[in-house]
Amino acid sequence: MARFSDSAQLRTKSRASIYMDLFSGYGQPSTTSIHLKNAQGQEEELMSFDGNVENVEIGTVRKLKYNKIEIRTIIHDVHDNPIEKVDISLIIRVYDADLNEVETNFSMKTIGMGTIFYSDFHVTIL
Amino acid sequence: MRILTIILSVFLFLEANAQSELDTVLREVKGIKLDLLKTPTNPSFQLMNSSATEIIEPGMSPEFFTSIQNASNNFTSLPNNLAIAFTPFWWGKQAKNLSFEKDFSETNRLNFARTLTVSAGMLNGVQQDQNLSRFSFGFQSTLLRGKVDKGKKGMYFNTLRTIGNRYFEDQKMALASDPKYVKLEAESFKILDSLRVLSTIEPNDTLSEETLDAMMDSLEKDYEKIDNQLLVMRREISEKIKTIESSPELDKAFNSMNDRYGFKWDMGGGLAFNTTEFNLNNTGIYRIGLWSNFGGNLNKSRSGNSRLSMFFLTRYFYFKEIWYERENNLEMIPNLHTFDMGTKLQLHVAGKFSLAAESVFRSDISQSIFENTYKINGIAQYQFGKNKVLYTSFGNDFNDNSNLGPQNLIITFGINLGFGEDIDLKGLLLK
Repeated sequence: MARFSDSAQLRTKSRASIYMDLFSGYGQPSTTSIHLKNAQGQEEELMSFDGNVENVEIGTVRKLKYNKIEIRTIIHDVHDNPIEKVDISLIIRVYDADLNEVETNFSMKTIGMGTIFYSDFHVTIL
Repeated sequence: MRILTIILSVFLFLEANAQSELDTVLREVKGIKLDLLKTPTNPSFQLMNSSATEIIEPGMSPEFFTSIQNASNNFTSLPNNLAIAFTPFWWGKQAKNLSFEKDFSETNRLNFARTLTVSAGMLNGVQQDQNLSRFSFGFQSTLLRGKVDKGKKGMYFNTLRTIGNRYFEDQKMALASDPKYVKLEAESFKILDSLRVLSTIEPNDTLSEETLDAMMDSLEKDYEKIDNQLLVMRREISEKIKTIESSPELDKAFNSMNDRYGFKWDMGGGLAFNTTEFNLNNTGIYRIGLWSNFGGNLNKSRSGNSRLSMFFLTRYFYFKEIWYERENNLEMIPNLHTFDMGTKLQLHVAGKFSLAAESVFRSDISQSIFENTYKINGIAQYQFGKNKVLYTSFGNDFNDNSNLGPQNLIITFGINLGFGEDIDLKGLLLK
């Protein structure tokens, strides 16, 4: 089963916003939703998008500080090249205005065309 | 290596049985996997003069495929042609940096390296001479692949999102039903609450800034420890969730999205050799070619399942020599240069069946005795499973050799297969 989990803590002193980049390589399609989870266990979907994003604002530090955000991504392997198996790869970078950042980087050989890849990256803003 | 072994085995099998003249052969090929095959030819077949179709729909060549083809007047002989094609783009570092937005663009983008396909082919028993074989090496690239439909892209992503949501809901439930995980997560939130409160406190006489910082540092370290424990547990719990690895519904939505519309443009070329009894001394160039196909749909791709398209061909060929049949004698033409122009009308029905008619006019540009000639061809193909395409073509051939003049009806019957792992194709009948 193609699934990955990761977590990180982003320490920020910025008063501005939190941003992110997401890149799924090999031209593979992906779709992502970002959720905010608070101390009461309540969940709020902050945003969702299809494909890759760069420098997208997730929310203000005021809103996100001391909260957890969950970045959930699904990738579909749509290429087939059995001579040299095409990988699935995913790079997610979360950062603030002062360029403090955390990153996760998954990469794997898929078992073939049609494989669905599930990833969750939990980031706590401290 | 495994793929090459399969190809070699298939070819040796076909070659070993080529003399048996059986009407039907039952083959079992291991390790054949699904792919998206739609085009009934391979650039190598075009160079070897054994293609079922002269005009290839631009942008339809898959990334890796092989073709087995039988050219026969009466369906009594076995397939004697084999060709493979693959895309070198995937071997380089640039593949990892390819973005979805670029590869599945809603605008028609100019490509070359991304879609460059390299092919090699072999044809045994040329012109019924079992000692004469033909090899070819070719390339093809889709310069313009057409546009991805925005609506279909949206539908594809809805399907992908639904599958993802199902998994993440299952994951959420699994985590919530694990008391140890719930307890640990509650502890982590308590620490976050404490940190939030401490962050609002201003240092004073009873609580210095240093003490406050030390308290927060300590809490952050505790949080980090718990967060790592939660990650380990989340990974363990997620592993137990049963979910789908692939989805036919999703693949179908993808195929629909990838059925591009708008103007499409291919270019290709290569060279073919003739060899007698595989002897290097008896090996020489058969022909060199360079061609371009372009065109597009006549109706909108989103209007139902049927699609009417029109394509055009321009092509240059150099023949080292051909034996040309005249009224009373056979004459050899050395260094013949020809220029082809053609058109193809194609109707796709329900995404599985297609009918096409093509005509190509060939003229001599080297001012030899070669008279202008033409080829008119009908092609029918049926995708009988995802990745399995049967096709047949019928028509005359160009009058560029002594045995096959325009008056002769040529019938070609073949199959295109995608290669991969894990799925076996059994009981394939080739007539």
